[in-house]
Amino acid sequence: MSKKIYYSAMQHDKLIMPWQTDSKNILNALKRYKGVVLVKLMGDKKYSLDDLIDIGDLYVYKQETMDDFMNEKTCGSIYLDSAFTLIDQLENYPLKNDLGAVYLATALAQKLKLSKKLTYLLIVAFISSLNHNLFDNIEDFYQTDWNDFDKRFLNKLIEEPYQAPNFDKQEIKIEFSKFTEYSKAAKAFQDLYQLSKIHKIEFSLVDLQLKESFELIQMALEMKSFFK
Amino acid sequence: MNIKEVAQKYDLTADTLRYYEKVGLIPKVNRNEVGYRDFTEEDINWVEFAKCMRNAGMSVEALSKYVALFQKGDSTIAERKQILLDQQAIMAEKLSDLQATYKRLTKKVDNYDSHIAKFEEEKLENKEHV
Repeated sequence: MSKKIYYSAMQHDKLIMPWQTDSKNILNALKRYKGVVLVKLMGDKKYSLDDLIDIGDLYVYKQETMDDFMNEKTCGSIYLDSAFTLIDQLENYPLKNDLGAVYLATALAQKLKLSKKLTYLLIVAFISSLNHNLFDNIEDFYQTDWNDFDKRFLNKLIEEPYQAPNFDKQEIKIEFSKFTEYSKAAKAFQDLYQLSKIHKIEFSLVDLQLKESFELIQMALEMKSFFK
Repeated sequence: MNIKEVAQKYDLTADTLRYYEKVGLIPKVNRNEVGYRDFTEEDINWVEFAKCMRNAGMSVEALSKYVALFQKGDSTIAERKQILLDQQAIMAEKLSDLQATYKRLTKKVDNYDSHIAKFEEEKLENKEHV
């Protein structure tokens, strides 16, 4: 079955623009309006849009803004603790201003309920992918509670390419319960890489994998304009 | 009734109905044998209720919680009643705010009326002097 994907945005329970396959206008709407919900409609392309509205799969992504994230209870949050620790540590390195990237990765880790260890590891990997000069010092970021696998996992994450693999044949999924959280962190890393390109022409919503990443589109747009 | 007919009846769109169902503002709608939505009388009553509550400002979270509890049966009656009571309190506050604003507006209009009357009276007096 060949699939077709449409996107739109909703406000006050109503579509504010027609369903469309290109995500550019949707991003503009998310940039402009608050309280907007991103919606995705997916189904067999042999059906008309009218039919898909009835029988297609509908996905609703309520957007989290920077205000929502910052206004949440921050005291004692393991996620923000990891972010602040890393921000302090990064001051020792010549980097571009990446506070926005740190907060975006933290917000995604929080949404995915990643452990403290993988939250820190994810943020380090994401910041390193944006600042290749950190590669030589990557060992500085190893933590005492990391095992050999954690270290190899971080090094694998920051090895290019950063985007998710493209499957031209039926994808075969094998999950090892022991590594479920690592797999989630890897997908989060690939999605963060895509979100970091949100202001660029090559960005497409189709490349995002996790529901939680779709919920951070508005925040990614805000981060880009606040932390230029 | 199909989705388009229900949308037309309640002045909604098919997208809005799908959204209502997806976020749990109405229970899962019945389907016909080829997979298209076929709204029963009960489904339609839920649509009417959801539209009314959303127009009144009830949040998606509160309404979807109410619907989920309703589907669990009678053991959730007390919890459901509490959601409605909370909503009633929010609406009572909004009504009270509206009433206060209405009262203030009425007073302002009355003021304008007395100003206009006074102005007309002065205009008349001036004419008489001339």
